[in-house]
Amino acid sequence: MPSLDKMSGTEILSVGKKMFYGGFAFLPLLWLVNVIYLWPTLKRTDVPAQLRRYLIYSILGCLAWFIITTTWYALFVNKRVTWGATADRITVVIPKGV
Amino acid sequence: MLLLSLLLCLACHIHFTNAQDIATSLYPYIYTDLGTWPCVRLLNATGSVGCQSTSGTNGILYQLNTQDDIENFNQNIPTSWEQWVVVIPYGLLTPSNIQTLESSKRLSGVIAIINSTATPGSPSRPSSYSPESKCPNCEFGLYANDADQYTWNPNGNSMIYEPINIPIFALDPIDVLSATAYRQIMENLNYNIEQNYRNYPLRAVDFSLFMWAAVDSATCLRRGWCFPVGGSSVYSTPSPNLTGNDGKPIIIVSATMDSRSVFHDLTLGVENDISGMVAMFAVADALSKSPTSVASFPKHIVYTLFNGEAWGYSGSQRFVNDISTPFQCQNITGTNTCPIKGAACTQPCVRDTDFTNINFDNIESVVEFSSVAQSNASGKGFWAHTDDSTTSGSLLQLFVGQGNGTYSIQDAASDGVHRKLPPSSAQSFLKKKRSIASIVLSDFHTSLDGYYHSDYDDTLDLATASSAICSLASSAARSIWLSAQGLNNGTVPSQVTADCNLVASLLDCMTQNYSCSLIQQYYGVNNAARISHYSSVFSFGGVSLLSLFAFNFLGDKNGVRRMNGTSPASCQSITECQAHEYCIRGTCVSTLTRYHDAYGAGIGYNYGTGLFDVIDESAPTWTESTWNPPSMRVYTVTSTRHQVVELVIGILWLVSSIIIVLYLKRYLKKTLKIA
Repeated sequence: MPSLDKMSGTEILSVGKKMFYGGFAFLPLLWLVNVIYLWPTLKRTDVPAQLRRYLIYSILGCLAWFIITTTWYALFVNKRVTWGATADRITVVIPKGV
Repeated sequence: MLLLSLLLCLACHIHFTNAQDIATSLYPYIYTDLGTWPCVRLLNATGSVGCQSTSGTNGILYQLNTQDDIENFNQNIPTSWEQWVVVIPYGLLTPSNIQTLESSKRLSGVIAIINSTATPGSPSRPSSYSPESKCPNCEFGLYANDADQYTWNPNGNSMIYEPINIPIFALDPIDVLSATAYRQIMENLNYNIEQNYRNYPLRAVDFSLFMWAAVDSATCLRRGWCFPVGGSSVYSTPSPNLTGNDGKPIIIVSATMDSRSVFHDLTLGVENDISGMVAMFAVADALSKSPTSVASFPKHIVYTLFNGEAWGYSGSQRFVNDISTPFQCQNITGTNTCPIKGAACTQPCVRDTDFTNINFDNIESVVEFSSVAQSNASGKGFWAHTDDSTTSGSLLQLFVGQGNGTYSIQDAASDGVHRKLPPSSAQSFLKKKRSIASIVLSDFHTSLDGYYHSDYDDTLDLATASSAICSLASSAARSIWLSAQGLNNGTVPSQVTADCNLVASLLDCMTQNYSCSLIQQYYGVNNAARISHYSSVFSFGGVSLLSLFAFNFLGDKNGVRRMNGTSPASCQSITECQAHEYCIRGTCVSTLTRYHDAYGAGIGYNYGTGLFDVIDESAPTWTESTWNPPSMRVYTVTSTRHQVVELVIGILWLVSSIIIVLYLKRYLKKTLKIA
């Protein structure tokens, strides 16, 4: 892929769009990359305004994922013992002694 | 540059291997590993008890000798930032003391001293110390639902039911290895005392006691990180043709095989269980000498020695359940999870089906020997406890009538207070059928032995104990001899008398010397001196040293020797005997003596998964955790100031080396002009 400087505004928009849709395949990090990678190009005049929208949706999606996974992690870590056999079944390596 | 980095890499490689070597070669200079007897984690349906430490802990050795020392621990420790390992007499190991020590937040472990010499009894002990509950196993007994249960163990402090998150290890110099551990700890402790706990370096101890199991029995069994507490019970009868429908009533003569204490490796239980077990052996021996064979009597005599009794009557409840419910074998073809080779039935997984010959409805009476060693009883007599004076009245009178002079047998309710049965296997029989006549013989009257289920139950006055047990066994043998013929009185042949020498040898073999000559008559044993009387964990087909002896002894006394002409058929091993015969004491013997599984009635074997499950939370469900090998090691610590100085010097050293390397690199680059 050519460097961003050599790409036209519409090409950048198309990359941003693809990465945004691609993120729906359970790839929140792709959304994060999308934002970090394309955010500086928003300053350019030839980049369509829609890109900002895709990037903001990507941030939101990424945040939503972050909240969901951390909540699950916190719940799992603290409630694993009380969930009993069900939790053991979904645990790959059961910690000893707890 | 390339050369330099290559050299550096080589250097770091050499350095790495050296570090490994240095670590292993330095280890003996830093640590002294000691043999250990830890308190470990056990679980039941609702939680866990016993000790564990999730991470390794260490602390400086500190002596606490008295109750006052423990209460003032927080004020007396010389530094407020160090962690301490306290060395206390075993008698001070109570839940409240542990709580007091833990509340200081400066406690990292406890070492409890049971004895200071190979002869038990020193240092001086409190007159009673029982880590059991005030009413042991009452929640699983006959009176579980009674509103006012009698408190049999008023001095019990429930230490064994405490979940403790610090390591507790015992010191008791009973053999060479443990004497070394004791000496090491005491030497290092005395060194610290000499240094007033202030003049560093001081001696510290490092523990590891990592228990795998957590939460409760159901959880750890599912994960495979614990095993049911239990073992093998043994039952035996002199009636070779005992069947369920021969219409003959059965007299059960019972005792308990196992004991319990804080430190399982040290569990001995001279009063509680050994004395009762020895009394039962002596009765079996006395009755085997009857001129008219007891097998021809109108009633059957069945001897039962239950295992796992300290854990909610595991052995007796399982035995009663098994003989009172119709046995249905579902021999399945295909996947078979029964681990016993040559099992009589694979589901339920049993060694044999001979227990089905004992018809529970035919059981007329239960005679049980509780603690009978007279080690610290005030009077010299024995007490006969009954559940109900009407059902057991005539049996009681028979025993009282056969009592002998100094060691008389008295009705425990003769003082007008009816306390019912003390903790005993008889409760398991009566729980199923209350109309069985029962009698529990003991040397205590109103409360259990002061060291009930304690590691202090390790002293034996062989002369007193053997004459007391011998006398009781003779009285009991005569009573049972009469009872088995439906007689209330009469002359009992003089041969039906307990052998006092046998009692003394049995006591010695069971307490101090398992490799004794009596046991050597049955099978070879090497280097087994004092063995643990903790039942240990259950495994299908597994037999402990105690069960093995019980089986051989009872089989020998109750069995019939096959005669080869005029002499008994000799054998070296069971393979030389006919089917259904055993090779006992070098002769082929046919006997109805069998092992029976003993583990909590609340635990069942899942034939699908091959794992144990909790099937009834209200019945006993004790399990023992699996663990990483526990360790206790001694090492030397320097003062905190010393350690800070070391750290600062280390950091300065590191920084200066980095600076030197950087300068050197720049200098070399300039002068040599490589790369």
